[in-house]
Amino acid sequence: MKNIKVKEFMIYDLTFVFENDTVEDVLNVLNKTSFSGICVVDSDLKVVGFVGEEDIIRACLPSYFNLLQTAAFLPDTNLFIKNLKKIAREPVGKYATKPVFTVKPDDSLLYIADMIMRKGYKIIPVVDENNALLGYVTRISVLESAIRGELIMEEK
Amino acid sequence: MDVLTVCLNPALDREFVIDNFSIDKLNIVPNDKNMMSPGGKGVNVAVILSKYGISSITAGFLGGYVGNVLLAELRKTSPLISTSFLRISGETRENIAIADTIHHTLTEINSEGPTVSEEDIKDFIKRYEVLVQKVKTVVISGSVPKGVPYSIYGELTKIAKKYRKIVFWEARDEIIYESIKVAFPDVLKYDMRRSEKILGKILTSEQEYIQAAKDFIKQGASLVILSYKTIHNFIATADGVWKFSPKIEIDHSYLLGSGDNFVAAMVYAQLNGKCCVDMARYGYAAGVAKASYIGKEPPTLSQIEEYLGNIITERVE
Repeated sequence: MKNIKVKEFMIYDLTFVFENDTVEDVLNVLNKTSFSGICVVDSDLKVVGFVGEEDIIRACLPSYFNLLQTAAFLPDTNLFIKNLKKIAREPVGKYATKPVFTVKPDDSLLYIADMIMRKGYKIIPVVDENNALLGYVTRISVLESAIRGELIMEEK
Repeated sequence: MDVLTVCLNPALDREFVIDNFSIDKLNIVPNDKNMMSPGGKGVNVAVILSKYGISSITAGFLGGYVGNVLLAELRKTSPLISTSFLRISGETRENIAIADTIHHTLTEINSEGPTVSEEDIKDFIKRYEVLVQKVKTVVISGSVPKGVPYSIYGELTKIAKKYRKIVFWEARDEIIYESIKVAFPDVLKYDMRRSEKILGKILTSEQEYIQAAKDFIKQGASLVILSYKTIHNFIATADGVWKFSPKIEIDHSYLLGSGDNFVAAMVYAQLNGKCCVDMARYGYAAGVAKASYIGKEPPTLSQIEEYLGNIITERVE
């Protein structure tokens, strides 16, 4: 398969939040950008965390939730909503994933596809050698590029 | 990244070429004469720079369905453009331009655009300060959406100056008037398409233009560009004042976008070591080259070089 690199299919978008932005701010950005997660950066644009819809959902569930096999055991669904409202004004730094899995523009499509399969990432930040944000790769762009790559090979 | 282009009020540009365009009548546009592209002066500058191999970050306020279309189109344009828009609740504007190559007219219909909240302005400035440190040059260009004070160019320039960046402006008088109270850019270019006012006054004589350009230099700009009777320019630096004129005839219906080409070519020249009046010459040649044909496509670098021979740069002071 043709060796497609991240820089050929990444989105050159610098959407980010700061550690002291609120959970509500983040939800607003995710909603408007249709990204499932975004980077938390410092004043140097260095990626210091990552926060996605799942991080926020997890923050609203009781700590024992991960041990359960099914949500059927959740004692009170209203609890989730109550918790979400409670954390809405809190800084997102508290709920961000650290350290962040990032990729570089010269990494290969195969490597990214492998990580997506193994870890279930939906969106991955692309950074430079100093860990400063350059953009994102999304799961759909990986799938699309993989198909295009295959087609190019078949034509040859 | 080389440049940060600030486009506070981006727009989705719709361009129709309708020969014999008439009001109060149905006008049909052939498909190939119906264009849609991301626009707003700062976005245009980023797109033109990408054609010259220069990377940029484009920042501003973006919102709604039109905003999403604009972003999708912009992402397709070039990997040299990184977008960093603050998403707002309002709807990004649409600019409709109708060019008639028979009657040589250009009719423009621009929507007013969204209103930006104080909270959004604060968020934008916080993000801008992070982005500005990543580039060499900052271009702030075009209109300001409702809710954003006219002094914003000054505020953004003050931050850029903290990090010793070169700052270019192209804007209308109201914005320049309020913003220079806060900070001066290095390169000040007046957008006089809608009004020929300079600091609230309509200037008429060449001498008044020369004096106004010199005053801006005295107050802190390094290069000032005032367009005069649409196709001429008065250029001032600390060394003197020049009048630029085209050697060729210019069709006014082709002037669409020539200001953005002027700015982009100056930025290209600056990044390639040109200074002062030579930088302005390069920009003006690009503007004149762009005005020699219809369409949004910028002139190539070799076309600009060629058009350097089609302009007259006469020292007036």
